[in-house]
Amino acid sequence: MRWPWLGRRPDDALLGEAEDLVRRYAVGRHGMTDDERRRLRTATLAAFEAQVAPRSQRRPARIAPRGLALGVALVALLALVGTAVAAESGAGQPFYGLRLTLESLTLPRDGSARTQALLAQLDRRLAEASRETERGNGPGVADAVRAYLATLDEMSGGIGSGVSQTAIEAGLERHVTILQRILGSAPSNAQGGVQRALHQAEQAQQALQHGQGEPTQPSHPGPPQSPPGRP
Amino acid sequence: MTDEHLVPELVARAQGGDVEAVGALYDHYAERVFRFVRFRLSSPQDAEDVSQRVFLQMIQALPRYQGRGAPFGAWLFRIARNAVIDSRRTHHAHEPLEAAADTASGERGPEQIAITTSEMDRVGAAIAQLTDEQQEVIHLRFVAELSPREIAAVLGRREGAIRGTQFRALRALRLQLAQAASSDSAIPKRASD
Repeated sequence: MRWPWLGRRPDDALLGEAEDLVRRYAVGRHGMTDDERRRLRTATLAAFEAQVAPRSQRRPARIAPRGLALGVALVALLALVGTAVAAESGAGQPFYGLRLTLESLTLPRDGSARTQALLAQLDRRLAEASRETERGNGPGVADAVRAYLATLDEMSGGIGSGVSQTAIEAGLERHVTILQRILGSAPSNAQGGVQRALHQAEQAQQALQHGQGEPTQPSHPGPPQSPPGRP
Repeated sequence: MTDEHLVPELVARAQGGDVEAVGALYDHYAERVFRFVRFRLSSPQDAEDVSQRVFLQMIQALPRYQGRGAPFGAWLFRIARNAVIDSRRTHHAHEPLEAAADTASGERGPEQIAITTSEMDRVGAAIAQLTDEQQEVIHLRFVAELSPREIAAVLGRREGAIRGTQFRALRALRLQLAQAASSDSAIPKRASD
């Protein structure tokens, strides 16, 4: 007798054994052969790789904008850090030139506002030269007076019509006084630069006093610049 | 076979393009999917074709699968069930399911043939006498090895209803097999006499 328990046990037990029989039947029948398993597996993975491959190829295109954005963000961050560092850089320090460049970018384009901004720059350069002189920092003093001369040259290119000559003359007079004081105490390696700056400031002062309309001649060769017409 | 609790992780990795995870999912489900399809279709060749279609559809739909819905096993066997229905509707609309139970012997290795005894044939014949709904639940429960909850998700029914169908199916099977046993028992008795 193949199933002796059938018809002789309580219903629950019979159902439980029927369930067990069905389980064994299900497992014992219609299993995959190794060939079937292998074929199906190969086809499945190949299909998956074929589906994933285009996604992988698209990935660089998706990453590219991210990379670009990351690059832009990095550049912006570096610029920000550079600006911050430069803003703190004094005369004679590595980023002093960058700081001057950034300052020049913030200047008004033309007119009296630009002239007043240039005058303020001249004051800042002399303040830096004084500070570096007190520190005994020859290269710092030289950097500051070199920047002073460059700004004075730039101002000679044109004075805004709305700026009073008296204000410019007062500024130059103040500069001469400061430069004379610096000259007396500047480190020796900065003396030449301070002398040139003093000379140019005096020349500009005299030019204004004589009403030549051009505060000073450029301290170094450069393209001729047409001074604006002044009364 | 992979532990069931690792399936969600494998699915996530497969969704991320991990081919090894897909291989592991295949290894975990292939046998059960194939047997379920094979039990539901009469032709071994059709079973292989449909099984392959199931896994291809799984791959195509994998990016859209969300773990918040049905368990992955239920989701996969819903694909399998639909593929079987499509296949039967298209190619074998008039072929009775009982044929499936009768065509397996002789196509397997020696070990499987040894298992496929006349007892197994009788069980297959008894299952074939069940209603289509009962057969489907039995196949999903014991062939696909899904839980009643997963079967409920596959069939879009409540878990309690699945348990009820399973109970009625087993009771019907017991009756069928008891009848077969009583008719068989005469032969051994005669033999023992």
